[in-house]
Parts: sequence; C-alpha cells; structure tokens
Amino acid sequence: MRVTDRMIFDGALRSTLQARVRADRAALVAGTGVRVAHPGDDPAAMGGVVAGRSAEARFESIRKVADGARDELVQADAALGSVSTMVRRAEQLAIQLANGSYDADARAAGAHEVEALIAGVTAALDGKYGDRYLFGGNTPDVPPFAADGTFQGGAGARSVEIAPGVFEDVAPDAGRAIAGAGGGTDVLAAMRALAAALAANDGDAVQGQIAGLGAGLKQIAAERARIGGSVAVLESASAAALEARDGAKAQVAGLTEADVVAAASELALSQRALEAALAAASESFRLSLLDKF
Amino acid sequence: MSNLLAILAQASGSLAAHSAAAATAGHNLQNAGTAGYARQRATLGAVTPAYFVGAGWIGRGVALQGITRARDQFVEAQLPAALGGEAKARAEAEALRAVHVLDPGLPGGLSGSIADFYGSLRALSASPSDGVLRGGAVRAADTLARSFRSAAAGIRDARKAIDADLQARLPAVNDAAARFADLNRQIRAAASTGAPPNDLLDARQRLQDELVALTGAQPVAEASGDVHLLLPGGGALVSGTAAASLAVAPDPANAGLLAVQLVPPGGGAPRPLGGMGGAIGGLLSARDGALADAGRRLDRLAYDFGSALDAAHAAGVGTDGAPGGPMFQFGAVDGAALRFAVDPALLADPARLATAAPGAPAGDGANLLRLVATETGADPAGALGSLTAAFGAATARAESAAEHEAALLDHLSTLRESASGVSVDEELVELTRAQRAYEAVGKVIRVTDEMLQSLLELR
Repeated sequence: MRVTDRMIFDGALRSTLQARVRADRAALVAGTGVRVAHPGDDPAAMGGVVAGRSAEARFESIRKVADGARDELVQADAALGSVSTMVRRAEQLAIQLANGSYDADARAAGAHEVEALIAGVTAALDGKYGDRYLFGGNTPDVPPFAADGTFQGGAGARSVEIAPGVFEDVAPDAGRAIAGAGGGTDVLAAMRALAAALAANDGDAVQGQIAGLGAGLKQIAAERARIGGSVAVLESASAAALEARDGAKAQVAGLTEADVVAAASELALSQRALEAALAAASESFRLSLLDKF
Repeated sequence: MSNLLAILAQASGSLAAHSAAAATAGHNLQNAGTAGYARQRATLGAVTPAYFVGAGWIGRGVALQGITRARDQFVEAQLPAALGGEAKARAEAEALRAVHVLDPGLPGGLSGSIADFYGSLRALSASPSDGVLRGGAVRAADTLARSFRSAAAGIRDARKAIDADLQARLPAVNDAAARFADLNRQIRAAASTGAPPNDLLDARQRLQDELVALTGAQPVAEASGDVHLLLPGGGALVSGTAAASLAVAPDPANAGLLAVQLVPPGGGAPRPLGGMGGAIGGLLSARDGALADAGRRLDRLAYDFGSALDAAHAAGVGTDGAPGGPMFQFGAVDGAALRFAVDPALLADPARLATAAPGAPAGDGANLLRLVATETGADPAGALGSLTAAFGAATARAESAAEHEAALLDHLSTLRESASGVSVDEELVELTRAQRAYEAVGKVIRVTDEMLQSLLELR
C-alpha cells in the first residue's frame, strides 16, 4: 500500500484525537466516579437505575412514615400506661373504700382523689403527637374526649404503607380501649360513678364499680398489647425498608458508579496511550525526503 | 545534416514532454494538502513512427501522451454508500446524545418527581387531615406535573432544534447541487478536447462527496461523462446540467415539524421525498425515530398515570366533604405529557384532595391509600425505566452504527488516499527524474549542436 503524506498526517491526527478522547473520558470517570450519565451510556443499566432510584426513594419514605407511626404508637402506649396506672389506683381505692370500716370523710377524700385521677386520665388521653390528638382515631383534629367524658374521636383507623402495597393500622383505638365501644366498659364513666359513689358514701355502689374498673384495665391492657404488636410490625417494617433502601442504593451505585481501581488504571493507561500517540505523530512528521533535498 | 536538424527538432519536443512531467509533479506537490485532489501522472512515450534508414529504425524521441488522474474505481464505487451511511449514523447519534432530558440523574427530573409525589402522599397517610401535609402533597403533585411538561417540552424542543439544523443545512446542499450541475457542463465542454479535465473532475468529486454526506444521494455516471445524483427517497438532485433543490415545509401530519421536499430544476411544485440519507437523513431519523418514540411513550405514561390517579381520586372525598374531582388534567393520549397539570381547583385548595372514603371523617385516609397504591398498580417508575432504556438503546444503537460506519469509511478513505493521494517523496523523485531527463535532452541538443558546428567547419 502506498503511504502518502496526507495518510501520515490524517493517521496521526486520528490516533491522537482518539487517544485524547479516551483520556478525557477516563479523567471524567475517575474524577466524578460516575460511569454512566446518559441513557445511551448503558441502556439496560439505565432502566435499572430509574427503577432502583424509585425503589430507593419509596423505601426511604416507607421507612420514615413507619418510624413516625411507631413513635406515635410508643407515645400512645406511654399515655395508656399512665391511664392504666391511674385506673388501677382508682380500682385500689374502690376495693379499699368499699370496706364498711371507712367513714364518709375517708370516702369523700377518696372521691377527691378519684376526681383528680379522672382529670389525669383525661389529660393523658388528650395528648398530642405533633399537631394531632393521639387518640383521635381518624378525627385527630378535635380532642378525643368531650368535657363530659364522651368519646368523640373517629372510629376508623388510620393506616400507613409498611411495604409496597401492604398497609398497617396505626391509630390507637381509644373508643374500644377507654370508651368501651363494642360492648366493653366505659372506663371514664366507671371512674365517674366511683367518684360519685364515694362522695355519696355509698359502700355498695363503690363495690359495684370494682368489676367495671377491672374490665377497663383489661381493655387498656388489650389495646396496649395491640399497640405493642403494631410497634413491632412497624419496627420490622422500618428495618426491612432500610435494608431494601440500602439494597436499591447499592444496586444503583453498582449500575452507575465506576470501579475506582479500574477507573484509575484506565486513566493511567489512556494517558500513556496519548503520550505514545503524540510521540509517534511527531516522529512520523519528521521523516520526509523533503528534508534531504 | 538534415538528420542532425531532425535530432534538434525531436529534442525540442522531448524537452516539452519532460517539462510537462516536471510540471505535473510540481502540480501534485503543490496540491499535496488539497482535500479531494487525486495525484496526476504525465505519461510519456516514444514518438512513432521511427525513421527507417535501411539498416534499421531510428527513434524520434519522446512525447507527452497524456496526463492521467489516479483513481481506484473499485474503491470509488464503494465510497458513496459509506460516506452517506457514516454521515447519517453520526448525525443521528449526535442528535440523540445531545438530549439530556431523560437522564435519570437529572436534578428535578421526572424520576425524582414521581418518587417525591408518592413520598408526600405516604407522609400524608399518617395524618390525612393535616393541612400542612396536604399542601405538601398538592405541591408535590404540581412539581410532578411540571416535570412531565418539562420532559415533554425537552423532547419537543430537541425535535424542533433538529428542524432548525435541517434548515441550516439546505443552502449548502442547494449551492453544492447547482455547482455540481455547472461542473457537469464544464466537464462536458472540456472533455470534448479528448483529454480528461482532471482538476474539474476532482472538483466535481469533492462536491459529490459533500452532497452524498449531506443527503445520501448516490452518483450515477453516464458515458457522456455526466454524473447524476439520485436521492434515496426518489428523484434526482442533479440530472446532467440541471440541479433541483431541497426545501422544507411544515408537515401537519407530524406535529407541524418540517418535511423535506424536492423542488424541480427551474422551480415548479415541490414534491415530498420518501426518505433521505446522509446527515439530513440521520437528523430526520433521530427526530422521527427515537425522539418521537420517547415522546409517545412519555405521553402514554402521563396518560396512564394521570388516569389511574384520577380514578382513585374520584372514589374519595376531600376534607371539605366534596367528592374528588379530577386530580390531574391532561386530555387525550397524544400530547398528554405536555398538557399535564394539577386540577386548578385542587391546586388552589388542598382540602379538595380526596383522601377520605365517602361518608368518613376528614381525617380518614382510606382513599389516600388508594392513591398510594397506584405506585404499585400503575407502576409509573417501571414505565419511565422502560422509556429511558428504550431511548438509551436507540442512542447506543445509533452510536454503535456510527462507529461501525466510521470504521468502514475510514478504511475506504485510507484506500482512496493510498491510490489517489500525493506522496511528497514520490513526487520529489518524479521531479528529479524529469529534471534529469530534461538535462539529458539538453545534453543531446548541445552535442548535436557541436556536431552541426563540426559539419559547418568542414567547409
């Protein structure tokens, strides 16, 4: 094959340009750590990147919501724990003051204590998580219990997504646990009746409230158990979401990020190739019969 | 004496022949850097008939028999397809590579907006009647709608930018076609002398390469020496000494984007072209291929996503108790992404976000869960991933084709240059050879002159 001067120049230009493009690309990859940016860089990977980033964001939001719901339930459980303690004290007072050895003064003092306990229970049940009432159910904007103790919260549950397409009820059911919805005992009513019986120095009536308060305590314990179960579910959902998020993140990183060692090697190699191309080009330009004439 | 005078006359002719050889080598050297130039060679031959002098034939020196241009027709026949193919693939690949609106990592891109939208709905599910969270969800919906419009506008703008590029290339095509036709005329006239007009042929070859790369036109040579240029979509861009021209007009069937038309020589009604090659064909391929497909897929995604959300939204009520109207506005499938917007009433009043089941209190989130569930049901992220992968595959395919075509063209161009290019070393040798021959003929003249002088001195 004849080799012309233009072939020498074009070849030198082509090889140096190709080497420079390779070196620039290697420098970009090594500098940014990103292997692909445009969909055309790796089409199959890019489809996975979109799905992976979406999954990453989805699991992160599931995790946040699950964590928030868990915190809310933990606070509700703590509030119900306080309520339980106060109801138990009322039950103790009822058992104690139902005894005929107590006089009217002692029972009146007991009535005062029970009134204070009712106020404490009401205060605990009116607790808020952020801007919403903990025990408002699906009506979290209004106090769950009216001044007369009537439950006015929502009967429906609030649910959050704990895994793609899986939902968990997260609102404590104060209607069932405190107001006795569904045939249970109205705890606040029982406490009020106890206070009234104590104030009236009616031992039999006081005795009559013991069973109701005991049943109320069982209701509260049952709701706390349910909340405990939900907390456990939310905790495991949060952990699973965290793991899934990290998995998606790793998948995206695997698809988009450059291998650091490979990128550094490619950078060194491409720079060497560029140096060689430049040296070869300058040498090939120098050799011509023109200089011998 | 008459023989000596004949030698002088022959020597004069020989000097002219060697002078032509030197001039040709010089012409080659001067054009060593000229693109598209094919080296020329002066062909010298012994002058016939020789003298018969009884005992034998005495030659009559050397004469220029012609100046030929070095072209390998086997290579030349393959080059037009390679030139057109490379230009088409490169133009398509470059046009697609320049589109970044579908990059998954693009800040504010569709992928992130979809995730943020569902994240805001999920956050709202913890407290559906919370005004702040409702406002956040509606704002996220608005951001998502903007992302749809932005992506669709990006694709539309990329297609329009290709139209602008297309228009900018047409004057070069039409100018080159007119000059090509004129060169056909000049070559026809010059060839009537019987000698090939090498430099005119080179000039026409350069224009041919240029036009082939721009339009994909294929040359058809005639025995008369004319070369016609036929466009891939039918019709002659150049027919002998008549040049047609290319024009563009909005195509109502293609969203008003430009269609390329062929205007017959001397004017007349333009007619649409079935297809184009070269760079113009590559641009059209990018515009009406991968980009149009991405636009259609985006419209379908917007429509399906919006329809799923609207259906779920219509099943619930807002905190104001009003039934959920449409959540998004987008119209028919065609152009849905570009029209995608949050319902203005919802945008103005987030209380209208239908999160509750009908009849349930404001804080109910039953219907919100339906909205959240569309992330799994409608799977917009999956559809977007598929769209992105399809666009990426089209880009990668075009780039791969461009690399392949470039390698093929590079190979053929090297073969052309090897056959037709000027080697300075070679031409310096040719020049020296002609110079030596010229000097030798000069020596013949001097010796003959001395012989004549001797003859004259005998008297």
